[in-house]
Amino acid sequence: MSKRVMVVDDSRIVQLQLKRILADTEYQIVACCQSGEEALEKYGEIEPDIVTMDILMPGIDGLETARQLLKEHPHARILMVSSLAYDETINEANDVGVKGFVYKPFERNQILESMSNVLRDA
Amino acid sequence: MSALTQTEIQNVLDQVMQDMTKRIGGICLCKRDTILSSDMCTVYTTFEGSYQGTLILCADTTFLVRLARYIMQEDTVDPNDFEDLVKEYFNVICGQIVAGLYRISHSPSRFRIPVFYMGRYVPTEEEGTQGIINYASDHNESAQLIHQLISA
Repeated sequence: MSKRVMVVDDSRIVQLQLKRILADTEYQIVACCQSGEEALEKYGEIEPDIVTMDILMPGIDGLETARQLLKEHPHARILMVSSLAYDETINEANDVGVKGFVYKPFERNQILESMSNVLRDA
Repeated sequence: MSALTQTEIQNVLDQVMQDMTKRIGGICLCKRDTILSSDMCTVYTTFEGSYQGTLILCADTTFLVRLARYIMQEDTVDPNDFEDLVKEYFNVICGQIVAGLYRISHSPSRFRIPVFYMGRYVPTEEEGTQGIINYASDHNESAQLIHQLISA
């Protein structure tokens, strides 16, 4: 059975890149959200196995979205996919309860490996 | 924590710009004064934190189109996707810049969502210093990175 993925990123290009990477894998993108607000609204009805989350987005940022999402859904599995690639952001993400972090620009194997790790460690 | 010097900032900007353009877009850039064409696009953002300023990239449209095609691995790029591609390219550059500056200053910076503009656009300079790095691509296209530091 395929793993259901929710992509949260305001860039349609990143959404498209992830669709290409995940095509013909065990993962299936079931929702793409362009903002944190949209993700918070949709998560409950979709209940994906994993969420990929950008940080820099219009409205509430990805870290705050993750914080609110995990408060409402403590078992949510979130993989940050962001260009903010430095220790403080990663530490903040870890403190929030995010399970993994991938820097942009990403490679196919980084995404697949990180998603696998997030689901395995859950 | 240490304050960033103009030279340190300039070095990080240049290194990231060249590295990421090669990695993301497969295009080699070298620092060189070039004549800017009239067909340009601009993408810019502002930084907050240890690096406070505005970063502006003005580049030949042909350069950005070539970069977009490489990213998408397609011969043509939908005009609707072009702006998004340029913003994402710049987003990655800015992310690597704050990471590079963090390694020197140990103090974080953030940046706002990049803004795209068709044509050349340089926001009004606030009080502070300005640096410009000019590039020529391996196809002799021009790009110009302008950073305006806001005085503390």
